[in-house]
Amino acid sequence: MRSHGIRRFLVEDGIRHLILAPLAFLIVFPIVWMVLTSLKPSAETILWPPKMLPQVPTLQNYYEVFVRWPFLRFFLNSVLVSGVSTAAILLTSSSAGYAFAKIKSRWLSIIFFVFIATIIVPFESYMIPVYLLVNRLGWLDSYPGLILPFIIMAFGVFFMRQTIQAIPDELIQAARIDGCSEFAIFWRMILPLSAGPLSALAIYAFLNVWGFFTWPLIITTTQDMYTTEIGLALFQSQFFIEYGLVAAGATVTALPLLLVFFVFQRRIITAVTLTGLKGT
Amino acid sequence: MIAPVSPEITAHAGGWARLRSQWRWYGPQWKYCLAILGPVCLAYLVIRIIPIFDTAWMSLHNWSLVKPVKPFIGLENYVKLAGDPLFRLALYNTTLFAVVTVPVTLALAFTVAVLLDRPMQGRLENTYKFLFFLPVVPTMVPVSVVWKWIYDPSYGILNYALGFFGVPPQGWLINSSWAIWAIILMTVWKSVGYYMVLFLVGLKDIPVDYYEAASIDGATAWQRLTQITIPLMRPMLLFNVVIATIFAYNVFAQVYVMTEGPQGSPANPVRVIVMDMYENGFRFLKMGYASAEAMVLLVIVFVLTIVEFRFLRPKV
Amino acid sequence: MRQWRWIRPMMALTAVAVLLVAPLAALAGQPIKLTLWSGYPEMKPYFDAAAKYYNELHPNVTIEVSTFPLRDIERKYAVSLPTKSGPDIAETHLYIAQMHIENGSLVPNPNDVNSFLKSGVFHPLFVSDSTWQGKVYGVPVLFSLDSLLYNTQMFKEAGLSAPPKNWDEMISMGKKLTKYDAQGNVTRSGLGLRLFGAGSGVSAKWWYFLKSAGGELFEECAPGTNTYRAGYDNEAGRDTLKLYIDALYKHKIHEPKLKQDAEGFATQQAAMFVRESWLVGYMKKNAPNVQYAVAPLPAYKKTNTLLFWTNLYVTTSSKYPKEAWDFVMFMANGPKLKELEQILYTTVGWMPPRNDVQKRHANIYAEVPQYKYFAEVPSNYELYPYPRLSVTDEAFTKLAERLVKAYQDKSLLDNPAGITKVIHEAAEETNAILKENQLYCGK
Repeated sequence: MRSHGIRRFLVEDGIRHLILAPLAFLIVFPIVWMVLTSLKPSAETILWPPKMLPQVPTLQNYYEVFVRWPFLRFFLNSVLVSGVSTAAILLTSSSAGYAFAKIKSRWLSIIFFVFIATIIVPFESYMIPVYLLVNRLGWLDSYPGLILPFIIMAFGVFFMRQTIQAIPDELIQAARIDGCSEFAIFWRMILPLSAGPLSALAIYAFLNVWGFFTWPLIITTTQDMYTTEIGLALFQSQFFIEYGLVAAGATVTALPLLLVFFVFQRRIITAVTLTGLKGT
Repeated sequence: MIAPVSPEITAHAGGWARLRSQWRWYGPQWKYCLAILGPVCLAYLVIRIIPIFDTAWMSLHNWSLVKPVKPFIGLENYVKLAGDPLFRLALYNTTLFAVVTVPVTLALAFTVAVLLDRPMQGRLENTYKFLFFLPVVPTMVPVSVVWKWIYDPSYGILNYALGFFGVPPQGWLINSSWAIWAIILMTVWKSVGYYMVLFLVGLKDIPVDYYEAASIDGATAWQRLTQITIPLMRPMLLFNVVIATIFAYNVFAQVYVMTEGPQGSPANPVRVIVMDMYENGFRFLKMGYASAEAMVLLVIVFVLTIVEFRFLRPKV
Repeated sequence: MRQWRWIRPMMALTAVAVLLVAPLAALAGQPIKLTLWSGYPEMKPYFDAAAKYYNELHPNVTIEVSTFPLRDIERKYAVSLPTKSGPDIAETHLYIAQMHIENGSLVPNPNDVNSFLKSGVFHPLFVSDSTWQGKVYGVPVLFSLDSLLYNTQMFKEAGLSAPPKNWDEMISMGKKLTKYDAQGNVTRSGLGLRLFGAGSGVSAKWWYFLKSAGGELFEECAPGTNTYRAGYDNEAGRDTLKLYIDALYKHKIHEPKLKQDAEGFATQQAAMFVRESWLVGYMKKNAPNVQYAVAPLPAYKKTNTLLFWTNLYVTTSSKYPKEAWDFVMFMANGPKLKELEQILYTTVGWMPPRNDVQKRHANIYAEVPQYKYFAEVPSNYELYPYPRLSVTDEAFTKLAERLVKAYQDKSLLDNPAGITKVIHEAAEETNAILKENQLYCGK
């Protein structure tokens, strides 16, 4: 009986491996190829037929990436913009989400509906007036300008409302009867209870803002203010002839997120599932 | 002070009191709402609501950044859009992109998820899940840069690999017919892992008893798939379809990277709506015209969402 | 879960702090800071050196230099100059400057600057084409003619002793220089062309050949009327498109899958092509072992070439126009003129625009012979500038996309009707752009 089970198990596995292994290889190969190319001196990148591994591996490209263009500065810019935005989004989404979830009022329902309606409106549709506004404020090419559109996230409000709704009303009523102000209820009770979803939202918001492209593209004018996305996009258009260098730039841009993923795998996957499933 | 409104009071008071009880919150709640929602609503107004209306307003004017006079021209921008071959091309390209990327990504993701749902010898399924999710993590620009290199006509690895199958070197991003498909392929590659994760969670939720009952009834693996798995996953499938389509309509970053620079690919074969908007608004400075395009994009996405809500309302 | 409680307030505080501090930080700094933008990243060493020298003379003035890829800076100027959030000094070429001049974003030259410009130090075209409605704008900072670069090694191998002088020679020599593999595919282009990439660049390169064929992008309907129509819906336009189509499909002297333009020449995938002198700096850096020389642009019905230059403009965004003009004049005519010109010659590749450079750099053509025909042409050559209308950019960009499509259309070979159709439709589009901007003279 057992050997029958093992054999069937292996055969079934075998079929799946047959399908999945090549796919997995194709999926991972581009990333591997990017890293391999970045380790080759420029002359090697244009060999034909191409060689898989670098004959003379070099870190010169990485050195050049940081020397020619301020990639470190790009990284710090991204960290700052994404970090501040995420903090603001968490704050506004959870506090507003609590209001919508636990304070009964027709007005609030209407306002909530308006917020939700903005989820489906793509940012690109209305970025022109926001751009003009930022310009009038004198915040063009500055951190406040980069951060401004991202201090709120309608999806975040929706997400937190759904999460907080699951908290039993009795708890909150009890706290109210005890004399707690709504602020206290929010700060001391709601937030700790929503810590899991909050961290999921934090990851979601952070990755979203980090990868946003259109807004930093139109807002930044000086190189020092580029985020990593914009920095790399412009870098590759200028140094296109140096393929190893550009590959190193791409690796440097992708690396921080990949590292974060390796370390926080579980949390990120949880974030993906929690935020991805909220709509269903 | 907190004074719960007792049922007797609301019952006694007439319609007026009932109305007032809906308006009037408990004191501290009212303070909280004002303190929190005040600034938040203000933020929404300033950076979401008003800009949306502003865009609509600008779309009705001949609004150019470099001209001082911005006359009202009614729907003329929209009329011009309808006759603009570049915009029509952008609409076509974007729709093609969305219509192909979404089903292919979801189908592939679903297949992989189904295959990885059951455990493997040595817990290998976790390795596979990790590998498939990997492309999702980096952002779009580095991924586009890498693929631009892979697609390179002279030195790209894709041409080399295809050479073994007897395919002559192609200019994947240069050729007008292939360029959009090259970008579609790259986008599918990047997104598969994300939907795989969502589907895996959904698959896990299906009770094992259903499958067991079906097996007892004599259902084959394929029948189990089509009669149980897919119908139960339908709401999630449909939800993801529309979300993915909406994101597909906003595609821009990868097109920008591929077409930017002196060795960039020709722009028109991959011209998408946001790219056309960007060019009209931020290159030719015809912001009124670009705003009209933005409104069209908004309407398309809006309609797609309504479609979603229509189909999604669970009849189950 | 406890750590969440104080991480968040900290983040909120950071958010508030940053939002408050950032604008303040932006305001603080040196007493006078000037910003200079350039669309030519290869010019950065020049501007950085100029900024350094100037700061040595004027310690209270610092200059921040930013360079951008060309298509990007055109956009940046477009959104920042009208709203007065642009740089103090803008470097750009003629047809981009024109829309900003007309919009009042660029400051006309002060009188002393104009005296300098008209003192004979510059070719008259520099001044006359920088004049708009009686006022002169900008000071030239770099220039080059458009000329033919050719790989001398490849020429020797093909048994060619001199570069082509006209289109016929260009084609016949191109055929001798092209290398094919066993299947008949081109492995080395005899004549490098620009078939796609970077928007308007494609049509600008086509336009040089158009001018040699006697055509124009815009032709003025009647002198002085300031109304125009497309100037290529004629034999010249058709001939120029035919040149490309024949080169690609009849003579097969260029292969789109190979690297094109500068990169093609540097990687020795092209034997000759047309460009400007910045190639000297580019080749020195990226392909120092390639032996090449420069010749005047091959002629056709007309013998002419483009005089390309960029100006430095002071913009209305500047809060310190006086200091800005002072810095501009420092670069054009200051005590460090020789050193700055040296940087142009040795590192950048673009050439100094003054016509008295040989006084300071007597041996330049002996040291770098490639510069000669980027700076001078035989006297029978006519020099022309870029078109000056504000809609030039839009016209070039839209024409570029049509050309890109046409170049990929094999059916245009030996198809005069097809070529006529493509040219005519492109001209209609150009006319529509003119019409939209009240510059059209037709119906």
